Amino acid sequence: MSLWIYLPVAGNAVHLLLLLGMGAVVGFLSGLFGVGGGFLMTPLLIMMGIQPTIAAASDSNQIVAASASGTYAHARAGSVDFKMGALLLGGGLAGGSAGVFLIKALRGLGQADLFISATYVVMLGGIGSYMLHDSLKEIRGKVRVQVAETRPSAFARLVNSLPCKMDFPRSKVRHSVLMPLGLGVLVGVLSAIMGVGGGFIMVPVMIYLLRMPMHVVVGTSLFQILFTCANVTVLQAAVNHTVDFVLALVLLIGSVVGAQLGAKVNKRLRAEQLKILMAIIVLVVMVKMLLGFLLTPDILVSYAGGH
Amino acid sequence: MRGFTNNVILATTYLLWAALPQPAVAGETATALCLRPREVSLGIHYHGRVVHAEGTAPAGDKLALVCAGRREDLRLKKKEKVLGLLWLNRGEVHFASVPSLYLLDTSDELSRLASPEALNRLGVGCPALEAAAVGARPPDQQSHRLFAELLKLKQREKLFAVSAHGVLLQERPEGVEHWSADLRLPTKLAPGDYEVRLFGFQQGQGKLLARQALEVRQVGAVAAIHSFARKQGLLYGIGAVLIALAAGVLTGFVFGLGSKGGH
Repeated sequence: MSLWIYLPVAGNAVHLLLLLGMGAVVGFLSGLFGVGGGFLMTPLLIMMGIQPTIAAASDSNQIVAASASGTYAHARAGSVDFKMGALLLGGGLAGGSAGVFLIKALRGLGQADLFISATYVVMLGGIGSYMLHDSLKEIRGKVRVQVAETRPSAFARLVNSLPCKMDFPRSKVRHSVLMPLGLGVLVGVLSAIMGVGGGFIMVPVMIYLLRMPMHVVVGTSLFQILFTCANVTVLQAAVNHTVDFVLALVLLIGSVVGAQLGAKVNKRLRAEQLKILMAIIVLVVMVKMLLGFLLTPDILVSYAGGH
Repeated sequence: MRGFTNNVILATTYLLWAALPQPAVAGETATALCLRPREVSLGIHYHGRVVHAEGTAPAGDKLALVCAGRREDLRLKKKEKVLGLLWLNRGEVHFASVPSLYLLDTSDELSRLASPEALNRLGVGCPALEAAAVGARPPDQQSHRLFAELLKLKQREKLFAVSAHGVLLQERPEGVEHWSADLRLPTKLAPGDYEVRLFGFQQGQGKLLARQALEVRQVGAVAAIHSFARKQGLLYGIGAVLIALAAGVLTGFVFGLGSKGGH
């Protein structure tokens, strides 16, 4: 029996075991950290010879499965804050639309790629470094206990002054409704600019700005990624015909299993361990991207589309 | 009875003639180019395939066999150094009339077959593709460099390949030479009509000896899924999401059952 499979929309044959393995690895990361994994999977598919537009659209389809699997596992464990997730999702959809228009305007000025590249490196570098620094401090036990007299930061004062306060019992926090909505918009804009699902931006936002517990963060992030990617899949299939379901199906078989294993490992690791691992992955991706901009490419032309 | 026998002989002769590869060029011999198979099916297990080509040619000819796909206009992103530091996509480059597939097998080094001008005239070799791709404008250094990059891209995808000595010659006593070659179709292959052409070269002059169509089509589940994705995009997208959701939840359920009684 042949282990090769021909993809009807991509028009390419790929090895079944390779796809299953890739799906399992990315699904594992998804379940472990609450990220979609598009920043990893799409470039891998392009390296296998899949057209960039088809790689990105089909990856969105498989992320639906991985995030559904991960959300289910986390929901059973009671670690999905549906209320917070819905508000972040609402903001994210609005921000995503705004980001698309922003990119269009920048393309008109001929500066889009420079802006996108700078955003990537600054965001990934900033988020990764901060998470790494913070986690190392926690692990070394050097976190100073906040004393009551400490003057709250300007950000904390701004957050406290916002109206429409609401309790989020699952996350054990109280915030203004405007906080998750506004941060959702911000992440949506950045996701649209960077062309990714936004999990690796959303996770640090939930940890550091919304002060949610790490285990709830992962489940809630997967919950909102599920809807974002379902929306992208339907739009890409209807408008651009770029979803290869056979490709997505093979990837998702690997990724749903990987996501379950990731969710199990997630429950066994401490929050600071998870943060440090996530920080390392974000920094590795940032360094890879930076090298991609600095080193002379093998080939100076590429097909249009993709992330 | 005699009339019936004659009719049978005539019909049999016609059927045998019809089964042979049909000549498309004046002066070519009926067996100049024969492909096995003449149709390639893209089924779910397709992962590249060898098409065997063989035939006869005038003795002493050097041969070039070209398998080419439909010609298309390509718009590619080009990378340039920005601020003397960063490699970024800066604008697009346009190439006209680039074949989707170009496999070239020759019986000798390309440079020994004919002059570059003669090869260009027949559309044989990468310089001929470049001449067609950049169009009427004179090729400048920039477009030449970018076309070389396009070749690298296509070669990496195995969509362009040149094989010197890929055509094997075998002299026959009756003044013709028998030749054969294996065309290796890549794993990345789009459905459509492809054409295989045989060129003969003698004393630096070349001519088309024969051509044969090679049909590549999707079959079975591959054809059905491709057609569904094209014709019913919205329904296809919704279906893809629902199946992905079901697979995700089902796996979550199964793993949940397995972990009952755990921590």
